Amino acid sequence: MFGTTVSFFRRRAMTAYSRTNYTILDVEPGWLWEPVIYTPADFFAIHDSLFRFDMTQTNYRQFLDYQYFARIWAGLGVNWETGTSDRRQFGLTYLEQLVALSVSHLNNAAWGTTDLPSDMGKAASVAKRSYRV
Amino acid sequence: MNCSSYFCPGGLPLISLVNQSNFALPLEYYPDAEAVLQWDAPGYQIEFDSTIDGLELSLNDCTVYGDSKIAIVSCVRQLNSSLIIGIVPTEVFT
Repeated sequence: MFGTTVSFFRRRAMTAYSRTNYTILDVEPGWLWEPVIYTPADFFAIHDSLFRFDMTQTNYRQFLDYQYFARIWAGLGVNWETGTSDRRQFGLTYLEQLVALSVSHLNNAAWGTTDLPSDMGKAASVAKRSYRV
Repeated sequence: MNCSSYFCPGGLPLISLVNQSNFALPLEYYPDAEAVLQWDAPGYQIEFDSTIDGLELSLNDCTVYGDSKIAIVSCVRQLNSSLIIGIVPTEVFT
């Protein structure tokens, strides 16, 4: 088993993105942290959508939902030699990605169905890159 | 101890203007500017600690997904304000 404890916090930050390739160039987080409490039910709802597939379909293994499940299954490192530290680290990293993406990608303002919160960031600007020496 | 911490600020494509128009200034405007700065916006700080010795998960914390060939056992349990998350990919031999 790959296992980890995970804690979520809400934190504000200034983030610099590249205009040309969208990568993050720099992040300057603020000092205030606020815990965000998620429950197992929140994650099982996400895991249900990620991992369930319809086995009642004929040749269900050819369907995209099964292929997607099989890809995640393989991504968890099942093909690595059992018990090796490489397999553990590989699977653990993949698990962390699954957890982080679940909240950061699915729970954002663009995908939300409710009104935007009032405390979203309200300023952006363009800038030249410089170096701190 | 094996800890890792990430900050997820969202992405540049998610920035939109008040009128919901696209954030992206065409590159022909201010062509010397290489970056877009997003000021004082909320994001996720996510912290992992894989040192879980002594922490236990029971079958009641787990759900099994899969079929007769491959399966994933997913377990999640509350631990104060955090979660313990475990996952087991298994191959079924018949």
